[in-house]
Amino acid sequence: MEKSEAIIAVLLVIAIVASVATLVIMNQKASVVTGKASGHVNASISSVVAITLDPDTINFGTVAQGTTHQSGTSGEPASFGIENNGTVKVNITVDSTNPLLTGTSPVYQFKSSCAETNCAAELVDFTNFNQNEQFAIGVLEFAQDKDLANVAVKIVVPMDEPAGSKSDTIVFTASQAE
Amino acid sequence: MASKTLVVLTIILLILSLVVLGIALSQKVLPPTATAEGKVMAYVAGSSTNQAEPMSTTGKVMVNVLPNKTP
Repeated sequence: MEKSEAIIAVLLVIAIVASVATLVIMNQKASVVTGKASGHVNASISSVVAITLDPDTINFGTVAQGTTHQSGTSGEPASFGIENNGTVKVNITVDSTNPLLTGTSPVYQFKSSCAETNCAAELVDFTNFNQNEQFAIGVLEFAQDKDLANVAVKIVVPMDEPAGSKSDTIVFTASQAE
Repeated sequence: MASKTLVVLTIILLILSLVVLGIALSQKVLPPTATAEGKVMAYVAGSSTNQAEPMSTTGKVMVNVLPNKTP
């Protein structure tokens, strides 16, 4: 073999090795090319105060003077049922429009209780309606399993209560608790 | 003469191969990458900056008192 042929052979071998190495590297590079995408997710939960009243009427029906009646007890109408359908915890107040009974020393009271476990701060004892905004329920939850509360009404009809139909409208106001 | 031309062509081929190899190696050392950032933002209801308006509803209490039977 001549010297020039030996040089060519060496150079060709080097060129072939370089080409093969290039092919291998390019093939590996192609397999590792990846793409990633960036994205933003925004979620807004608006604060909504919403309550429903069901039942929204307590009708004691026909009663006699000197008798006592309490909603939610045997033989009496159901108490007001309040459900928090909003997205925030709420405090609830009641505001009686009129005294309902006008005889001597009538009793017209309310109290609250949770219909589901640990749903709210309760007003355990009966409290006189005073025709002003009064606390009824504290921090009523909005979670589905603990968003119910009741407001019971108790009346004692005076012996000198004038006969006739009487009614009172009670305004329930819910405001965001926290 | 012919072998000289062959040597030159071989050298050119070798140079080209080495250049391509160099490019491939440089891309291998610094492969193309992409970074991604994701953000999850949630505004939780109840902050002081998003106080919901109060809401009112009404209920009714009704009773019908019988006349006193005693004279």
